[in-house]
Amino acid sequence: MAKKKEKNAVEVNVKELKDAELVVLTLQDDSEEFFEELIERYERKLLRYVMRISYFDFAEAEDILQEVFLKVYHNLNEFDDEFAFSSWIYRITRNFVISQVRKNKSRPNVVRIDDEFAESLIERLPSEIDLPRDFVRKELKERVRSALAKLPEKYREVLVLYYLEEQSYAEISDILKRSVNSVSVQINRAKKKLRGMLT
Amino acid sequence: MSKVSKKVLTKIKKGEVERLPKWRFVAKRIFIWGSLVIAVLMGAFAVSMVLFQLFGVDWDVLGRGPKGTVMDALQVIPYFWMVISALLFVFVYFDFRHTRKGHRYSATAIILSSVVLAAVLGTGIYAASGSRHVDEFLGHYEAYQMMHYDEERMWAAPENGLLGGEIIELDDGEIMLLQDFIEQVWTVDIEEARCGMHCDLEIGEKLKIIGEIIEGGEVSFGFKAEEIRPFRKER
Repeated sequence: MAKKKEKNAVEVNVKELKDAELVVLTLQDDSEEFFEELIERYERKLLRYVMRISYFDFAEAEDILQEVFLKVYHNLNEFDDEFAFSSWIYRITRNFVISQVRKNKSRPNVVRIDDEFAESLIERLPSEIDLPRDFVRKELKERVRSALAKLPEKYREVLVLYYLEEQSYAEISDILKRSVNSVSVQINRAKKKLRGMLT
Repeated sequence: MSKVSKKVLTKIKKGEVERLPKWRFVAKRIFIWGSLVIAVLMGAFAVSMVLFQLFGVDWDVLGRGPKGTVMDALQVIPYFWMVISALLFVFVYFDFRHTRKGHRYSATAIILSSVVLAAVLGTGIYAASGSRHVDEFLGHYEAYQMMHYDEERMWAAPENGLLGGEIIELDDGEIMLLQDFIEQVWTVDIEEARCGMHCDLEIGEKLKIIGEIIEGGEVSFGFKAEEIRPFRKER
């Protein structure tokens, strides 16, 4: 059931608020209720995202996420509503993950490719990259997983954001701090590279 | 409430993490944009200095200097200001990328826009003689003079028809005494010389003269002037 907050005699249905509105209310209000809603909205998505772009396991990803939300709270005044909140929080998460990976240089950077990632690409990519039709699905999934694991990080990263996190080109541009053209080129190159590995 | 949510909110409630005030972010943006504006203005000044030096070159006599065409041509290129301009454009690019929406623009678009903006402003500064003042000011420093196109050396080739120096005596608009840059005094016949818009000669003025050495005359250092130019062009 949606939480409700009474403020100045106006009932605010927290669940119906947009992310940017929650940020404004968090900044205005002394209670953490609005921020809690933001955490709820992004926790699962970001947990998956952290694990998709790094080698961290579930427990480590949770710790990272905790730090990410604290960072978000710490820098909340920096949020600019001309950008999507999701782009902002994804960017903070990505930067934090990169810094954590750099701190653990000795650890081999083997990214886990989950079933969902491989499945999602198999579902969405055939028309775009002409996947071989003669493979049985299980075999195809294994090949896609193996190809994704070998794909350079910069290409895998854009595929994760576009196909799994379902971010638009403009949002990816804001997350990675690159131009939309550069993002578009990167995605096309990633698909081309993947096609090369699969055929 | 999830585990992550609980931990985060507990830390916030305990005051272990506090929000940075808005003014910190505003100040950061002002700093980025301020440095960007300063860099573009400095770039414009550098461009105006490039224009000043290129337009200050006497291209028609290039190659008649003491060092020959190739060396003269290499000497007149304003490397110093070109390098300064290039460095400022690189700075502008990286600084602009740090603005909130800077990443949305390609490197080509950012650099091209800053070059065009600096070129327009630089042309304005050059047209308003701003670059001449800067050149005069910097001319007091030896390090700057060393990097600068050496106009005096270029016009110290009387055997090639180029004579530069300072008027020390004027006689009826026909003859003048000119001391060149190695303090040799020349008797210059200016009776038939073209002087364009610069005919009001004064003692103490520095000139560039195109002409030829008078051989076998009564004076040992005689020069017949064909054209007289001011030493520094007006801009």
